[in-house]
Order: sequence, then structure tokens, then C-alpha cells
Amino acid sequence: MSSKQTDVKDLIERKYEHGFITDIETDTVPPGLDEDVIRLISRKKGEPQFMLDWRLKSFKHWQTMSKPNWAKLNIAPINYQDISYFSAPKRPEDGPQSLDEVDPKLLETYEKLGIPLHERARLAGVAVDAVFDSVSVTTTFKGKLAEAGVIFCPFSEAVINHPELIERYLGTVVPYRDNFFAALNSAVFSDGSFVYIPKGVRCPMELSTYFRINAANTGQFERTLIIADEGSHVSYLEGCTAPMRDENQLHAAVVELVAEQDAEIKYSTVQNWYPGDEEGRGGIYNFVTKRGDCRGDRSKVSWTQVEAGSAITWKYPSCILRGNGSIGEFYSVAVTNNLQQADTGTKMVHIGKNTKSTIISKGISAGRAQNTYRGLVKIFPTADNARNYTQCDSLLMGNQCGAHTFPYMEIKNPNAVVEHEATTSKIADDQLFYCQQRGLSEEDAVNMIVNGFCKEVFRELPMEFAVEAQALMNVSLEGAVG
Amino acid sequence: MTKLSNNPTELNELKALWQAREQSNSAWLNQLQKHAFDIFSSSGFPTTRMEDWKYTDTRNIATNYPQWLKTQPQTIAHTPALLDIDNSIHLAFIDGHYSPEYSGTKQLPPGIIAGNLGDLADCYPGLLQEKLGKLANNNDSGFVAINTAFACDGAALLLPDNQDLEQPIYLSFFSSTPEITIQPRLLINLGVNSRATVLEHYSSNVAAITNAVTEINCGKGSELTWYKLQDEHIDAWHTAVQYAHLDQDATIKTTQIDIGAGLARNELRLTLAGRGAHAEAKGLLMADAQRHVDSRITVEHTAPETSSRERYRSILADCARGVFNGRILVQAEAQKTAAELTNKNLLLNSGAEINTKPELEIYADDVKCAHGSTTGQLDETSMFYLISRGLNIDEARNILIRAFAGELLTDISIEALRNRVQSALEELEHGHVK
Amino acid sequence: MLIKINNLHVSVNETEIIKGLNLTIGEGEVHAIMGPNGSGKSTLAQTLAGHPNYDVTAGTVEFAGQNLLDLAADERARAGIFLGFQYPVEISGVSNIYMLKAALNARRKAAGKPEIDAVEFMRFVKEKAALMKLDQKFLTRGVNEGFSGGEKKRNEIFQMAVLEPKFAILDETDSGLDIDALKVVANGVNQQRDDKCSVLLITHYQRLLDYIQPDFVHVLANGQIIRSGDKDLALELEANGYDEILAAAKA
Repeated sequence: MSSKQTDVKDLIERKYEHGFITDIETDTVPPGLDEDVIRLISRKKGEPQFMLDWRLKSFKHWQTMSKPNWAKLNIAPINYQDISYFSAPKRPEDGPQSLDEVDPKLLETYEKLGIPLHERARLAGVAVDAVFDSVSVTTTFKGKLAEAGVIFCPFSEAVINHPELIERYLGTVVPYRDNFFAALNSAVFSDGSFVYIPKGVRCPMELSTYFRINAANTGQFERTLIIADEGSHVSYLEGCTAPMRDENQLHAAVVELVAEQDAEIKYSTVQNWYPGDEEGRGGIYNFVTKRGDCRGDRSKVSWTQVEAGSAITWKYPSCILRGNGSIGEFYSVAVTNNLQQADTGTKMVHIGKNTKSTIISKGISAGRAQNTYRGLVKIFPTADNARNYTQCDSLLMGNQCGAHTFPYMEIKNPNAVVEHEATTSKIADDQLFYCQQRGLSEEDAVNMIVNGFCKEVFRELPMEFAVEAQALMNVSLEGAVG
Repeated sequence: MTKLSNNPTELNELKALWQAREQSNSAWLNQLQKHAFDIFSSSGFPTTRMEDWKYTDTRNIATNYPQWLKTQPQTIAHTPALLDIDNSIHLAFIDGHYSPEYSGTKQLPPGIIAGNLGDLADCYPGLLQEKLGKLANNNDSGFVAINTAFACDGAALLLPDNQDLEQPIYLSFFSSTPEITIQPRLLINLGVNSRATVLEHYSSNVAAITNAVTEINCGKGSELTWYKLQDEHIDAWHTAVQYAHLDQDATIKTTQIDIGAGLARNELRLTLAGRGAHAEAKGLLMADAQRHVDSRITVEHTAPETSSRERYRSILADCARGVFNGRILVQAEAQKTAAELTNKNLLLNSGAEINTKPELEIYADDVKCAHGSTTGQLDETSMFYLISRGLNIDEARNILIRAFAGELLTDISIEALRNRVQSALEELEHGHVK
Repeated sequence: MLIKINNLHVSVNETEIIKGLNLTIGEGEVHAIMGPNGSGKSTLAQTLAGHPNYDVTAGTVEFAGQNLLDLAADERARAGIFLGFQYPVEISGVSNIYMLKAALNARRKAAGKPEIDAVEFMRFVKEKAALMKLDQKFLTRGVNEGFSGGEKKRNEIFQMAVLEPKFAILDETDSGLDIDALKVVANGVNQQRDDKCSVLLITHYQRLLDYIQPDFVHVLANGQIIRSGDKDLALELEANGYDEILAAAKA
């Protein structure tokens, strides 16, 4: 339509909103990676020997691996010796004892990000573990959670205070040998979140972590481990941002979820890492391994993700459905604009009987972006009566982008039912005209239709995240009408 | 593409055989074959480390290929299992060689030629040189390259403009010599507004390797109905690739049916290169025992307003393993493309397996593309309905299995082909372990 | 005078469909346009609503003192033009009521009014839905998604009732409706008419005009209005068909 061209130009020039840099002193290890760096990281964190041994084993193995190249991604070579593997905000003491001791500039940063850290947190009922660069800064609501017996703390704290849980569960869902980026993370991860929900406990509030990469030339390698013991329930939210920088920064996280019998974990992500500028300069490489292990019967792991940021996303939150009657879910919206690339999807591995999985994936591609859904549904011979339903829809905006769907289905049980549906289309001109005829501007009409397209995923998000996700979508796609 | 570790023995043997082969008088053909062999020498046979071959292990074929290539055809001991097709133009190939004796048609109509490719190149240099090896890409797999490098006997169907050929063309390939490798090569060229129906039929009663390549050009406004029946012996191995290129407003209707072979791999690559070109592709895969059948289709839309519809189904029994890969690729120029693929699979018992991947790769925005895949059992409600009408479980099952396959068979215009598939269905119903 | 169309020429894909059309509609008037297939009826409707595929090559359209052709489709809608589509499009995932609220607020904003209160909006919408005998479940379903042909048409008039336009163009709103649905739709339109909404009815059949009495009837043929009259003209057309009038016009 006629008025588009000018709007597109104006809107494309909009700048990344979270692209401020916080000027605080940091304690950063010089770039480079060898065994000494790993020893240093481990020593700085005062880790027990088993952790150091595990890191070194992972490092040795990583050196034998090469980066995966099967994804539909064009990745510039990464020099792993140019990255700094540890960066912590510097402080005279070991760490803040309460919010009052936290660097006010840091709090200001979270303020700008809209993180409900202060009293707002209390009102919102969200407990936040904020990871700044690589180190957990503070966790709110410790007291209330402790009453319920819930452990929610920085990973490094858990290594000191609950070594038996770490030793028992770490690497049991994502082994350090799993893939190149998981091995690297296992060797150098600096912090992250740890959650343990005891038997029969329904976590009294949503748990939340905000990640932010601030220092230049650093990689962020956080590690999250969530254990839901028998009959427990937890909903966990993860958000992230990074400042604008010309160079690419690596984010290689690992998330492990363990759901014991009758336990349920709901994991929601709104990913808004810096995507690079309109020419594809800078932006985060988001290479993440996330996996949930439904160990117990009738356990459930549900992933919801809204992927709007990052220059490149390589991410397949997966479910291993081991327990009989266990359930895996994956709800995803992936938006790519300008020169962003995303290769994302899930794996549903059905091992137990009567296991069920649902995959709903919505990909939106605009500008010159490439957006790929890649998924695997694997039904083992043991998985009698397994059920999978997959729906992948792609929306193309503009004629220079691509949308791709690669669903693998491997079925070895005759009682399984596996259904997959996929569509690719654009917003129809007659839909736009219809909305405009009712008085909506073209941009409002597009936002409305796009949000409608993503509705099945957004409704899986906790309320305050759903609103944020919708706003994020509109911002990410501004100027994409074409 | 992953660099392959070629087995040097195989490669050396093949090299010796290739050098010793009878050279053509046509320099262009020798050049084409040399180029293909060079590519094969560096690629070798595919391995399961390659994405496109991850479910299909061809090591056994690779190992036996050179040895079986040396096998000389024996006098035919059995009557070939041919289809009795009314009023067809029949070209028979026995153990890889054109056999006028078994061919039903003694005097071939103009434009249809068969025999040694070298001889054909001598007699019909122009068109053959212009078209042969132009669609087939030797880099696609070692099997294509080695077919091109060695291809000796084949057929070419060169239909002039505005010709409506009513008689179906029946191309039969029958292997009866144990442990022989055959490498048929076919070229089909439809002129502007021409119409034709072609059936490729592969069968054998021994362990043999078939490695076939077909190149199809459909000129502007032409219409080709193409069938392929793979009905090889359970100890036979079969690989085949067909390339089809459609000009403006051309239509192709393909049906590929796999009911035989111990290991079969069939790949259809369609390119809709002219505005308004249309493809309808159907496939039926039936396998029992320990068979492994890999059926795949790629439809590449490179021109605007092209459309395609793909329907593939598989029925797997016993310990059979099926693989389906359906890829719809829409290039940026192909605006207003419509493409739709459905894949349905039936696993009749535990032990059977299907690996399926319907893919969409879309670079144009004004498109309507969709795919769907379902794998499951026979519909329980339908089963119950039939049983409640007095049928026993087996009868009900068989009716539903036949209905599942039948949807793809109804518009097959060659009755003998339809009958053969029906009887294979019955064998599958009765034969397999329940 | 609400709308004045003067010497309008419209092309689609470089083929001229409307060839010099003149029409003036006063406030609160109902005009019916009838004509054979391909005469340009729907083209006129789409053009007035501002569909980008219809090129106005000559002529002017004045609407409530503004040059209508200067406005984009959404601006025209906010200025008070409503098109009841012949084939209403389905938009999945976007609920009917959400779209309506956004549309209503866009209008209010353009008129410098505050957004409508949510409770007030629901009360208003439910009242209009009841008027159109539209089940409330349709409010929360996707726009036209899975609606039957008749439901889509009723939904169009329902939207019109909510948006309260100054000028409604109803493109073959009667097609595909049974007699009961037709009465409901006609009732909805008549209420709007009482509120001084002008209406342009595009129809094939006289049937609709039994329920919505037009002030004027025009016959459109080959891109021009070849005859105008009162409601008796529709009856004449019904009795004699178009051929006679077309022949008379040629003569």
C-alpha cells in the first residue's frame, strides 16, 4: 500500500531501547581461555574440588569438539581466546548483604529495565535473582521462600551451601559432553540460578531471573538448575537484555530442569538481547542449551519462550519424557527483523508410556531476517500410546526474509499418534483493508493481526510477562510492514 | 557436505572398470562421463553422516557395486514379471540392456529411441547432447554421479511440439541375473503443448543393484503423467533419482509407488521454473519384513504463480523401516506460490518404524504454503463402526488399510498398474506378522 | 448533501470499470444501486472505502465537506464511512470484540474524545448484539472465524451498529441470507437510518428493498448510472429484467 515506504524508513531507524551501558567498576578477567582461567574462576568463587574437577573435565572434552554447523545459520567465526570469561561488578566486600548495599547505579539499571526489584517486587509478588554479566547480584524474598522450604539462590551460593544437591543433579540433564556450547558452559560458567522445590510444595510465588550483559568483550555463561521434587510445582520466569555494542557477544547458557514424580515446572523466557543494528553490526550470539527431564511419572515440563532479540539464536528447549504419563510442552514465538537469524525449536523425546507433548511455534520474519523452526519428535518403542501434536506457523513480512520449517519425526511405536501441521503465509491485504475500513491505522492493524497470530503462545505466559511480550513484539516489528 | 572416507578398494575397482568401459564415439558424451566420474572420485557413495542420508545406510550397496557391475547378463531363465498394459508403447530392458525381443513394440514411433546411449548419441546427436546431464546434478549424490559416469543403456522420449500421445509409454526394467548392477538412464523431453503418459517399472527376481536416473523436461503448456513402480526382489537394492523441469503453464502429475526391494531410495526433484507451472505428486510406500524404503520429494518453486500439491502415504508392517522427506522450497522470485504437502503414515505393528520430515523453506512472502504429517494407527471409530456392522477385526483392518492406500490409487489411468498395487496390498494384509 | 460523486472514473489493473459516474446522497437518505453482474457495483463500494487496488483516474468525491479521495482507507473509516463487505474476511486469533473496541477507540481518538470505558463498551456492544440477534459467543470468537455466510453478514451490520457511521455502503449484504436473517439485517439498517445515517445499498434483487425502503433507486450498467428513479424502478426491474432498460438506454 502506498503510505508504507516512508513509515518503514522512520520506524526502522528506531533504536534499541535497552541499549544503555552502566558505568560501574567491574572485576574482569583478561580475555583468553585455558586451564588456569578455569582454576581462577573456580577459586574466585571458592568452589569445592568436585566443581573444579568437573569444569576441567568439561574443558578437556570441549577442546576435542567442533561447533555444530547443521543449523540454518550464518555465523562469523568466533575466537574463543578474545573473550573474557569472567566479569563481576567490583565491590569492597564479598557481596551485598541487602538491597541497601547494592550499587545504586546497578539498581538504577534495573529500574530502567523495569525489573520489579524494590518494593515493586513485593507488590508484583515476584522473587528476582538478577544476574549482571556473570554474577548473581541479589535475590529478593529469600525469607518468604525459605519458610516454604524453597531454595532460590545464585548458583554459586548453592555450590557452597548445598553441594550435595549440586553434585547429585548438575550435568544429569545436559551432560558436559552434550554439545559444543554446553561443554564450554560447563567449563567456564560463572553463575546463574538454583532452585529446589521440596516434596509436595507449591512454590508460593513466581520465581524470576533477569540477565544482563554489561561489560564489553565478555561472554555470559550462566547455568540454571531447577529441581522440582515429588509433587511440587514451580513457575520460573527469565528475562534478559544487553547494551548496544558493535561487536558480537557470546551468550552460551545451560538450563537443566528436573521434574520428579507428579512435579511440574513451567519455564517462561522473554529474550530481548541486543539484536544488532539494521546493518547487522553487533548483537548477541544466543547459543543456549535448555532441557527438561521428566523423570517421574506424571511429571510435566512446560517451556514458553518469546524470542525477540539476539543477532543469532540457536536454541532448542527440550523435554525428555521418561516418566509414564509425563507431559512436555513448548510454546514459542520467535521474531526476527533486519539481519537477525533464528534457528530454534524443540525436541520431544518420548520414552515413557502414555507420554504427551504439544508444540506450538509461531515464527515471524521481517526485513532480511531468516527464521527457522527445527524440531524433533522421537517416539521410542517403549512409549506406548504416546501423543504429539505440533503446529508451526510462519508469517512473512516483506520479500527479502525467509521462513523455514524442519520438523523431524522418528516414530518407533505403532500405538503412537504424531500430528504435525505447518503453514506459511503473509498478512493478507484483504485482512489489512478490512481492519483499516473499520478505522484502524495500518500499523495498529498489523500489530493486532500479529498479536492474534501469537495468541496461543502469549496466553501461556504469566500475566505481567504477556503484556511485556506483546509490547516487545510491536516494538520489534515496527517498520516491518511491507 | 561432509567429506567422505571412500573405501579405496571400491574406488580403485570402479576406476579400473570405468577406464575399461566401452567409450562412445561422441566426444561430448565421453566428456560428460569423465566429469561425472571425477566428481564421484571425490565424493564417493553417501554415508549416514550426511543430512540427506541420515536414515538410509547404503554401505552394502557401495561394497557390492563394483563387483556386481562386472557381472555379465545371463540368458534369461524366467519370464520377466511384466505388466500387461493395453495398447502401450513398451520398451523392455533386461539386466540393464534394451531388449527388442521382450519389448512389445517392434517398430518404435518417431521420437522414441532406446538402446546403448553411445549408439543413440551417434544417431541423434543434437537433442541428446542438448539435454542429457543438464538437469541431473552429479553433486547431489555419488549415485547420480556414478550413473552418469557409467550409463550405457537407456531410453529417450523426445516428443515434438503439440503432440498428444495417447498410448502410454511403458518402460520396464527387469533383472534376472544374480548379483548384477544396472544403471538405467532416461531422458524425457516434452515439446510445447505435448501430452504423454509414462510408466517406469522396476522389478527383479534376484539380488541385484539398480541405480537409475531420469531427466524430464516439460515444455511450455505440456502435460506429463508419470508413474514409477518399484517392485524389486527382497534381496535387491534400488536407488533412483528423477529430475523434472517445468516451463510456463506445464503440468506434471507423478505417482511413485514402492512395494519391493530390501533397500530402496527414491528421490523426485521437481523444479517449477515457468509462470503458472503446476505439479501434483503422489507417493505410496508399502513395506513389510525387514525392508527399508526411503522416499523423498523436493519441489522447488522458482517462478511466480506456480502451484504444487504433494500427497505421500506409507504403510509399514513387521520390522520395516520407512523414511519420508518432503521439501517445498519457494525462491524469492516465486511470488503467489501455493504449495501443500501432506504425509500420512500407518504403522501396523511394533517393530515398524517411520522417520518423516516435511520441510518448508520459503524466501518469498506472498505465498500460501502448508504441510501436515500424521502418523498413527487405523482410526478406532471407523474400526468399531465396521466391527459393529459384523466384520471381524482382520476384515475391518484390511478395509481400512485399503481405503488408506486407495485414495492415492483411484486416478491411476493404467489398470494393470492399479491391479499390481492392489495385489501387493493384499499380500501385505495377509502376509505380515500381526 | 453528505456525499457528492462527480464524473468518477475507476480502473482495476488498467481496465476501466467505472466510467464517469455521478451520484449525490443527502443526509439520512437511502439509495439503492442495482445492476447486472460486472456493471461496477462492487468497484464503486471498494473505491469509496479506499481499497488500494482501485485507481481513481478522474473525477471527485466530496464527503462531508472533505475531499474523500485524499484520505487513506482508515482515515475514511474514522471520518464516518462504513463498508459492509460482500465477502467479509476471517482474521484468526483476533477477537471480534477486541477489533471493534480498537476501531471504536480509533474513531473516538480522531474525534478528540477519550477512550470508551470498558464497562460502558460492554453494555453498548451487548445491546447492539441483541438487536442483531447475534449470540454473544460471536463477540469473543476470531473476527468472522468459522462464521456461516449469514452470520458474517449479521456481524457486518452489528459492527455498523457499534461504529455508528455517517455513511454506510452495504455491498450485497442480502446475498446468502434467509428471510428471517434478512429481516434482522434490515431492522438493523433501518434503525441506523433513523439516526440520520445515509445508506448506499448495493443489491441484485428487489427482495431487500421490501424491508429497507429506498428513497432512490439507480441502475448501474457498464460503469455509469443509466437510470434513476424511486422504489418503483426496482419493481420494474424485477418484472422486466435489465435487458429492456439497457436497450432503452442505448437507444
